[in-house]
Parts: sequence; C-alpha cells; structure tokens
Amino acid sequence: MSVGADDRALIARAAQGDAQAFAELVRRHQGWVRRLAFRYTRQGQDAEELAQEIFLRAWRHARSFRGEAAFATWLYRLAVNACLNFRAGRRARPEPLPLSEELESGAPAVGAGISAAEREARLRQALASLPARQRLALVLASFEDKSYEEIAAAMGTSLSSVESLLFRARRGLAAALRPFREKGEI
Amino acid sequence: MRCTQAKRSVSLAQDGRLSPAAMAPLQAHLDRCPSCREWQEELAWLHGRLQRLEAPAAGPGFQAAVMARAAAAGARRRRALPPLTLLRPVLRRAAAVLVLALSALLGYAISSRLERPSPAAVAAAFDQALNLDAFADLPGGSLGAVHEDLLREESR
Repeated sequence: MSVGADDRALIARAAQGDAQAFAELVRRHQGWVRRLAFRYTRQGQDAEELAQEIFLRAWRHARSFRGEAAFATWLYRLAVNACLNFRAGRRARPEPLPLSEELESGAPAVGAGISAAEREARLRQALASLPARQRLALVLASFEDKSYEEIAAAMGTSLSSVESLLFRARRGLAAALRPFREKGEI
Repeated sequence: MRCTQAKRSVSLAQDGRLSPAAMAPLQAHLDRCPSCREWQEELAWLHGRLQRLEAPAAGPGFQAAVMARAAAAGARRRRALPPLTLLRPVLRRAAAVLVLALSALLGYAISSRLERPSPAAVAAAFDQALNLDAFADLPGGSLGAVHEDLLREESR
C-alpha cells in the first residue's frame, strides 16, 4: 500500500496520523540515519537511542514539512539538530569498551597485540572527544560525503564556519590519535 | 605561505575546495616544509582510517521500536488539551461576551459618577425660564446668553 508512494506523499499521510505511512519512511531511511547516529556517538546504545530520537522528532513535526525541499533533506536537518542536542550516556548501563588487559593496566601494548575492536574503540573515543559541532561536521564530510554547502545548510552555518570546523576537528583528532599512530596501535 | 595557512590549505585540498591558483603556492611550501608535509600525510592517513570505521546495519527491531515510541507519543498527545483550532470558535464567543460585559460595566460606572442636578436646582432653572423678561438681558453665562453672543458675532 505504501511501497510505491514517494516520500512526500508518505510524510503528508504521516502528518495526518497514518502510522503505516510513517513506518515505511522509517524503513526507507533507517540505514543512513543509524549510520550517522552510530558514527556521531561513541556507544552502540547511544547510537540506537539517537537514531530513534531522530525519527520520533520527524513523527512529532511531520506537519511542519512543507515540501519545499526533499524529505531526506528535511530529515537530515532534524537529524543534525538531534545530534547537536543529544546527551550521551542517558542509559543506566553504558556499553563496556573492548580494551585489552595491557591497556587497562597502563602498560605499553605492542601494536600487533591490539585487536581491531580495540583500534576501532580508540578511534571512536578520540572522535567522541571532539566538541559536538566539530565532530558533526567531520562525520558529515567524512562519512556522509556531504559538500561544504550541504553541511552549512544542515548545520545552519556559513561555509567559512564549516571550513574552520573541519580543520579544527582534524587537528584535534590527529593530535588525539598521534601517540597511538606512532606506536602502531591504531 | 606560512605554515598556519598551509595546514588549512591542506585541509581544504583534501575536500577538493582549494582553488587551482592556490595549489602552486601550497605545493611550493610543502616542498620545503617537512612539518607541513607530515601534516598532509597525517590527514591522508586520518581520512583513510575514518573511512574504515564501520557502522552496523539496521536490526529488525529498530523500526518496531520507533513505531512503539511514536504510538506512545501519539497517545500522550491525545490525552492533552484539545488543539487551539478546536477551541477557536469558543474563544471568539467568550471574547465577545466579555467585551459586552465590560462595556456595560464601564457604562454603569461612568454614569453612576456623573453629577445629576438636584430636584431643587431643576425647579429653580425651570422657574427662571418661565419668568424671563423678553426685554431684559439674559442671565450671564446662561446658554441663551451664549447663543445671543454667537448670533451677534455672526452678524458682524
């Protein structure tokens, strides 16, 4: 019933309370929304929470979609705002990071002994340590392949601000990972 | 070109945002600055490393979890006050009644404060009017005297 309808028709029906229409929108866009949330947050549980929150905002504000832009563009702006407003660690039990015993004890670890999961955890930890706007700009540029113009529109800022955010994000991330990179641990 | 500018230009170049005219000066700087060359290599490594950061595919329960929260949000919305659009006609009528009531109240308040002449004053004025001498001057300050003065002015 909803498979053939385009996004605009579906969101219009969702605005009238059609849950099935909205469910189809979730099915179509959950992939990129979850990827964005996962790359922006540090933990899987936070990513799930954030991704759900993005769609929940779309459900609540469905009536505000006027069709001037594509639905995906509108949802992207909602997603960006949700990312910037998201408070991590609201769950009672945080997901443990897969760290080796050497790392926990503070002893230097040999590069070959670091698992792929640990390397990824370090990268995500360094990414999460960036200020929210820098992190978001970097995620949009590096993972979502968004142009400066698209990032500026999504974040409601100028091109020069995007340029500055990306430069500072890369500088901060490089500095955080440099010790691990020099030892071959990432 | 200074290192600060060169490093920013390297970041721009990675995003394909560096103009062709700026490429030559940047390259010239990189040729003689090992620190900025290292920065360029570091950015390239960082870009490649980020690209390998995977994200899990959407699980089967995600859509159901979203719809459950949406249903709960809808139920909460229905239990709340009715939307303003439904209340608008009622509010309009209530506003009209309020304005009428306030007007009546104001009118009564004003009228109750106006000075009414006493019965004795009314009787004295009536008596004066009845006993006016046609050939005598009208009492000064009276309405008739003022009217007479106006007529005199107009005839000039």
